[in-house]
Amino acid sequence: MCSGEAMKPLPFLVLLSLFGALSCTPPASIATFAESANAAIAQGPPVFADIYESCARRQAVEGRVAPNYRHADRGRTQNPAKPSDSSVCAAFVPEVKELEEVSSVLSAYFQAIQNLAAFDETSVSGEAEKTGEGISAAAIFSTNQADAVSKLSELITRALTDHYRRNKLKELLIAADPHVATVSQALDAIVSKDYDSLLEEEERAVNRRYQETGVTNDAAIILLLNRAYREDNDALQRRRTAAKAYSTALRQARDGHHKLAAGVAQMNNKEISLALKPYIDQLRALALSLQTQP
Amino acid sequence: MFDPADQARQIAAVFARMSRSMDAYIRNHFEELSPNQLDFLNDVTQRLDDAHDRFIAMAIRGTIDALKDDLSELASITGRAEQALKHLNKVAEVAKIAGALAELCADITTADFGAIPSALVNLAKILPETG
Repeated sequence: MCSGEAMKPLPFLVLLSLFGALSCTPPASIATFAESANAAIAQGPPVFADIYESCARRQAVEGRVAPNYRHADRGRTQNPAKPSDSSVCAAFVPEVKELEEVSSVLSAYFQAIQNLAAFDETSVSGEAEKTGEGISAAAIFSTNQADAVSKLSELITRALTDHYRRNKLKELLIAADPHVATVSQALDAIVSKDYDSLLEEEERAVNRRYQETGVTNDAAIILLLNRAYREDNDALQRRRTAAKAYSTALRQARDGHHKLAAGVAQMNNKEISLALKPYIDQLRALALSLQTQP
Repeated sequence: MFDPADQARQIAAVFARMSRSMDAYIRNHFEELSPNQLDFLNDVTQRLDDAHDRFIAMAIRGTIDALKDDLSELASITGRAEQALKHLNKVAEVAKIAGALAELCADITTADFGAIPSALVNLAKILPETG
């Protein structure tokens, strides 16, 4: 046991450095951010699947409308229904599957970061406290001394595991940042440019067909066509909204990750939490809106 | 730098522009066109749309192909994160064993012989989990 005035600063310094190390506990917001990013990215597969579906719908649109309305065939000398070129849409099948795999790699990364950031250090420090209690009892310390030893065991263990965890997170976030950026940018480009272009083409095809079949004075047919047109158009707009939400989610995940990777070494827990909050809120809202898309 | 995905996207955009022009023509001359002319123009438009779709598929393929290195890096970093978590879990298991051993030592040292069997049972419970 320590005795004398000269030894007093030592336990104080030890405790100070332990508390310093404990303030390095990775903030819960890292786990929350990774969880929100993962939840939003996981909504990708239905959007990817619609890349093929959009092509197939465009191919089918004439066959779907024309046979139902005799006016669609007014005065034609040949069959207007062009057989659908299934090979065009078939080209999207492997791409859709691979896009799902790409997004699953990104999801797995965010899941792993979430698990690491959310690791419950009390599972270690609680046991260390028990160990301290056991050792204190074995050494037959006084109650106060035994309590101090067990608390110190807990603090040391927690400081060591937290330090390890924080360093690992910092290392991994920095290493992954350029790859997260490239992969999310690529998925964003595919959804916001390529898929959007397919939806725009589908919309034009739908408008073309309704314009052609809508040439009639029959009020009942006009009513039915209007209703069908509105439904088709609404469905297209919902898909556009989902695509935009997914693109925004990818951008939020990328930007939030970059901010975290750039600041994890310098920012304290409060600063990290404040920096991540807007991204977490946006990602949660986007994941929810994507889940509710029909 | 040559980017096959971007080039395919640019070509797809050219076909989309042509298709839009055809659409505009059909819309503006709809009343004057005979059904056969309309069919012909619709057929041309659809072929332009097909060409657009083919180049979009090529753009997607090119984009995915360009991601190979980034994906393998990301997968490897994910593996490292999982390893770090395994390491922490192992530390937790070791701490459990140390706790049980300390409990046993305490019971022996303090001559609390009645508690030794339960301390042994606790230790035995933990050991298979960590094996």
